[in-house]
Amino acid sequence: LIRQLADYLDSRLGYRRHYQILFERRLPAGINYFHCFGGISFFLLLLQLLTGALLSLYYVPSEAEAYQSLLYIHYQVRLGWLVRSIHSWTSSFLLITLMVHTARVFIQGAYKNPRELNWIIGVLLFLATLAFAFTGYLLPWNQRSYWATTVGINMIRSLPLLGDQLAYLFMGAEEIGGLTLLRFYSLHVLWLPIVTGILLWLHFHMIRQQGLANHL
Amino acid sequence: MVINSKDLLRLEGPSVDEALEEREVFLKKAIQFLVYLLALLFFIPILLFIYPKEPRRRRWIFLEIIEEEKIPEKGIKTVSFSYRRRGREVAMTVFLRREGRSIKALSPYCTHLGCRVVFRRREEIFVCPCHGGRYDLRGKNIGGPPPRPLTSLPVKLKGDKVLVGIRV
Repeated sequence: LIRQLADYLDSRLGYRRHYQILFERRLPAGINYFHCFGGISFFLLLLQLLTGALLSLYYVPSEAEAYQSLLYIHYQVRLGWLVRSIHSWTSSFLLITLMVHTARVFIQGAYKNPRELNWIIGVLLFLATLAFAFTGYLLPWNQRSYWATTVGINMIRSLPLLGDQLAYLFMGAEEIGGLTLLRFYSLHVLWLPIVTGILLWLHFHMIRQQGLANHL
Repeated sequence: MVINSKDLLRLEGPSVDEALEEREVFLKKAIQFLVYLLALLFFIPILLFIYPKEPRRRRWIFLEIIEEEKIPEKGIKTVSFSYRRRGREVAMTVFLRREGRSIKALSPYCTHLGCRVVFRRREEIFVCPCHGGRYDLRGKNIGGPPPRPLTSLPVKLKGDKVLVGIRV
């Protein structure tokens, strides 16, 4: 019966073909462990998605309650400390693995024609991850996150020409407050995941289209 | 060796399973099983996390702390005592005051950030040493950062003893 169900699903979805492409692909010679870091980054991103979705069940993005809800998550919710710690540690690990991945691609020259567009997408993904980290840092709404965001906003403000307007855009008010928190929360859980999802799809689609680089 | 991308995705010919020996197929299946098991195990902490938790009921305990006659007609009596809470000795202070015939008790914790306030006898105010919060005799916040009056604690009289309720 399971066999029949699997056959039916395969006939409608064609998932076996995708499974084979994903997990039983023949790889070229000359692959080493540094090729894993893109995949590790993707795995960590999925972990962030999962733990972030879990945290969003309890987090309240308001000026008065953000830190309270954080304490509640950390000390009252079962395994809340674990999920929150995984989320915050993984964000750091994700940046490290992304840097290793970028370095591997750069050193191997895997960004060269015909993969230059994928390199650009990769850079955009890296920037999106930095934006994730920056917006996520404000959400605990404690002293450290408040002042870190103040510094970040001041860096934006120091840009020539549009600096003040950009800072105002990010803060949503004259100074960092509840509106800024809401803005960063929305970016962190809604806008950036959508953008990252689209970019990731492009990234992986192009890998399949062009195959792995085997320059060295 | 140069491999073009078409070869990488080549799906004709023997599938991976057919190319392997029987023992290798078994090993592969076993590893697959373990991975799926691990993925299933992941759901246990997730379920634990998302299942809502009832807030821990904190109950009141009433402690005899002083004889009634020792409370002055006017002003504040500061009483220090200790009690056991989850196996640990906790030192506590309450401020007692007569109001008509009844006795009122105030918690010593400042409503701003929870420092212990002290009573200034001469000025008849409570002052918080941390940020200068001030409360009057009845515990009403009259200056500084505190957002609320001092918390009142329930008081019971048993004979000539005064019992003060504390949440544990």
